Amino acid sequence: MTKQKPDGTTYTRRDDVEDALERLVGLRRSDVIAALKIRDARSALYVQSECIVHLMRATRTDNNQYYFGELYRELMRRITAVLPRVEGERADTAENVHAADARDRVRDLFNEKLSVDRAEAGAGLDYFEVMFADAIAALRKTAMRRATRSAARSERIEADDDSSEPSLAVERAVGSLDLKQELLSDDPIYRSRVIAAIQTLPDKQRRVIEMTLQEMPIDSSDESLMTIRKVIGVSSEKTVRNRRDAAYASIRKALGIGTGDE
Amino acid sequence: MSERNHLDDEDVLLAFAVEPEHDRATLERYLKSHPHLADDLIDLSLDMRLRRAGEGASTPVDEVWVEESWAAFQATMSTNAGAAVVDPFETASSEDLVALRRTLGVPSGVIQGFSTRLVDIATVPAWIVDAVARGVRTSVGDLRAFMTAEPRLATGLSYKSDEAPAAAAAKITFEALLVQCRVKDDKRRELLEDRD
Repeated sequence: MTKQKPDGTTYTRRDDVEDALERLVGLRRSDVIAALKIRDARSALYVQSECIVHLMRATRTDNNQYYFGELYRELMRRITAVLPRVEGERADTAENVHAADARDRVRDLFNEKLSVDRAEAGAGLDYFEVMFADAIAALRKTAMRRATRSAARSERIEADDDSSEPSLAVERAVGSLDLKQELLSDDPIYRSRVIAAIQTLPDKQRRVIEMTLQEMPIDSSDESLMTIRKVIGVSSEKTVRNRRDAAYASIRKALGIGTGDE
Repeated sequence: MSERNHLDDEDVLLAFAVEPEHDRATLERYLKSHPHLADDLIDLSLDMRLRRAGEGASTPVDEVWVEESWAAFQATMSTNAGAAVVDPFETASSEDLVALRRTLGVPSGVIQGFSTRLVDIATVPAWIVDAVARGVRTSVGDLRAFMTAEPRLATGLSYKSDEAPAAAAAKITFEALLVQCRVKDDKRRELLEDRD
């Protein structure tokens, strides 16, 4: 890998990826293809997505289209797995059309990078050997930035959050819902509901939630400190609180948790 | 915004994504150096958090989309190649084709599966592609480029039928071609073996 970080050092693969690669390059290609069928990521023989990217890049100078094709297909399955769900209970809804569109766009961006890499060794795919799933998340963000003009996106109508005062019940509810804990729930179905509840929040509220989860202060008299109020560029900390409280109220409603007022 | 800036922004998001930690300090560092990407960085930070929380959930595999993607990628690659595609079977002599058939030990129908582009080249083991390319005196790349196009009618054959002959509607796998040409089981296994 040749991609450099801002500090001038080169990106490196994770230790588990390096170990797996050492094992994989010694295998017959037919055995690598067989290993791609292993779906359980906890299996010792599971081929990490980062390894698949590496193996694909390593075939640049040979012409084994069959082997390359199998690696490529598996990588596309991995992309599907790490992107927000396309199918499922909300199939055929506007959100899903949006998600399917995003998946195609991510694929197209990845194909572009891959074809450049096939033609000549470069650093464009290095990120995907470092942390595949997160690099795909970044690509999705880029894809959505580019698509903003073309996507038929229904803007949500947001309440005038600068002036309305949250109810006492909502204020109280915020304190009793620990989202970090909810996202760590042992129940995968419950976790997916929490995730969906956060994903469907309006952009402005969702961003306040992320900064809250990062424990960034809402506001501060210390000008050098980064605060949520400054990042979102509003003049009053009340706006931040209102967005946060409205978000928590929506999440509680989506999860069927009472307001804490009963 | 220029294309250059687009690329820079994409790079910033990718670099943020592959940071070893996504804690408050990391997020703040990126927000400070790239304030114009604040919304995107925060969105990405949350996306990654939610993806981790959802890890382990099963995702339905969409094979149709996987195949579409593969076709799209192959199309990109062949467009990039740009050069005019030549028909290597047109210039190959009948002696060449007979020699190739004997080298591989297959009936002529198998060779015809290549000349009519009936077989999906992606399903053919590399050493066979290599042998066919050598047999018709072309490069592996040129053979692949020729094979990516739609199936076509066999040339130089006479048809004793009332119906007009038609090219196959879709490509078939190498294995299916061998079955169609009645290649015996053990010979078929030998031909399908990956020798890399």
